[in-house]
Amino acid sequence: MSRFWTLLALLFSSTASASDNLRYSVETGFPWTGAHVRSGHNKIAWSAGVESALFKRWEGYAGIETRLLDHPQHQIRLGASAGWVRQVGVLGRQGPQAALLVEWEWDRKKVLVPRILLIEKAFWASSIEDPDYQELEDNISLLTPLRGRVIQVGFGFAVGKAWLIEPAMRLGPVDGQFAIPAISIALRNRFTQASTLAETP
Amino acid sequence: MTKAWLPTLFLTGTLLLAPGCDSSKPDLSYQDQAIPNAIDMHLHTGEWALIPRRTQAYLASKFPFPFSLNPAKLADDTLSAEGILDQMDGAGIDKAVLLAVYAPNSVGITKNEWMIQEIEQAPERFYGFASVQVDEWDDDEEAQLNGLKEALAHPQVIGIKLAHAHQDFEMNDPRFYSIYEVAGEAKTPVYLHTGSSPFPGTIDAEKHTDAAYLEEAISAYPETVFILGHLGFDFINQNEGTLENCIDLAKRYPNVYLEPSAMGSKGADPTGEYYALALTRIKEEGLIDRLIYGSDGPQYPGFLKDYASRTLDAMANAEFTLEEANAFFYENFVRVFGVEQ
Repeated sequence: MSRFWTLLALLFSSTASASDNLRYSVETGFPWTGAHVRSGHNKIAWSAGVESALFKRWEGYAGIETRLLDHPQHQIRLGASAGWVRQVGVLGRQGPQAALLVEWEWDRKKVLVPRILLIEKAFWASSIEDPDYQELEDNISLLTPLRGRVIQVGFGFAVGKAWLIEPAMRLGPVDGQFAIPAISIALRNRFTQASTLAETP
Repeated sequence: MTKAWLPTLFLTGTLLLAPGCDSSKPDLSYQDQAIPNAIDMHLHTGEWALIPRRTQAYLASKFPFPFSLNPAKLADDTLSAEGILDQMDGAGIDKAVLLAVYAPNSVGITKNEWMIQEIEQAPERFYGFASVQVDEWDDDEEAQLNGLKEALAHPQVIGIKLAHAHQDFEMNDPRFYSIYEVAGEAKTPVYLHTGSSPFPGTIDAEKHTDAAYLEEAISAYPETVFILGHLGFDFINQNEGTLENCIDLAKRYPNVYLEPSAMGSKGADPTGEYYALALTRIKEEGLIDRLIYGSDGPQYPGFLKDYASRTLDAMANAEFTLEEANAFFYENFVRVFGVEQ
């Protein structure tokens, strides 16, 4: 895992430049805590992050995003990512995870900045310990991973020109199982229009 | 997408609002009449630490995320006397039976001593069923039977719980008939799990699950009451399993009673089809005076209320009268166990 993050850091450092739109987000809540970064220019961006649920389930990912809509007040982003999940405890499991996401953010440069994120996840899980209970491996194949369809709704409150404090709620199953709604509070950058970035010397 | 989120919202509401949060103690109601003394004869208490790891994983997989990550506390809270009383209050259940279990390779262990400790926290509302460990029976029979007799000496311990499928012994193995002998001498009914079971480590062979294999013991011990739990439901394939064998035994032997716990749950019978079928068949055969209510809770917060509600629906589908509902929910229990109403 450490090699993965080292490679990721090198990738970012090589693609980042003064004109990049580098955005950070850190969040904490119940049950998720995480950190995310986006870096890119024009309409393409790299993304990476790590999240943990109660420090028993860890999800790390790296991906690519494009801006379907790049407006001074609206952004719609479409992305894909790949990563790794490791969950410890009585339901110990690990494996690769892929995700598709679409995100809409509306920033009128006023106090309130709403955001909606939809994610479709596929997790090819295997047990960490053997024996697990009987069903995990039996039901998972390339075409039948554990699925999770998540919607996150956040309302960011502007803190100066560059930052938002954003309470958010996340709904949707985890590994195909019912999950109680997650709540979080995040500190994150406001977005900048890509065309503005491109003109920056 | 919306379809996928609806259960999330529904279950969240259930979890947050239904269990424990309801400080009132509503009675069960059937045909607009209260059933004020309802008794649930099948509730589990115990400790998470004494459940085998594979079964812990199975149970955790049924918990909502993120409780599935750290299920011990929720499980222990749910299985405690306090947690069970909360659920009983929310469900309109007046009294209940807590079960001891010795199934170290499947569902785990709840010792007689633990069961007694829990019922003593609310003796006005709890009864107990004792059990025996059968793993080393050839060497341990006498000690186990003595332990059973000791537990049965407690005034609130009024029955014996056995689960051949969970404890891995055959229903027609005469080595274990001494348990029924003790039950007959003590005039203590025996509750028996019938049907398959989804828990890891369970033996699903016919001789462990089909009540037909109990006939020899039932006929040999006419003074002992045999209560056939789950009505032979097949929890793996989710169908009526050996229901007809249970009904057949009840028709032919006056010492056979029927208990429909767990088979009507959302997970086992989502539409309520099999629960209604079972109650309909029992009514058709004139066996309602042999029917005793149990849920197999507490399982998860809100389960007792949900199971009672599904039972009321199944009774309505089976066209039970109010008198029959009262017999099912408490009169039969009071008569069979000789307890005060």
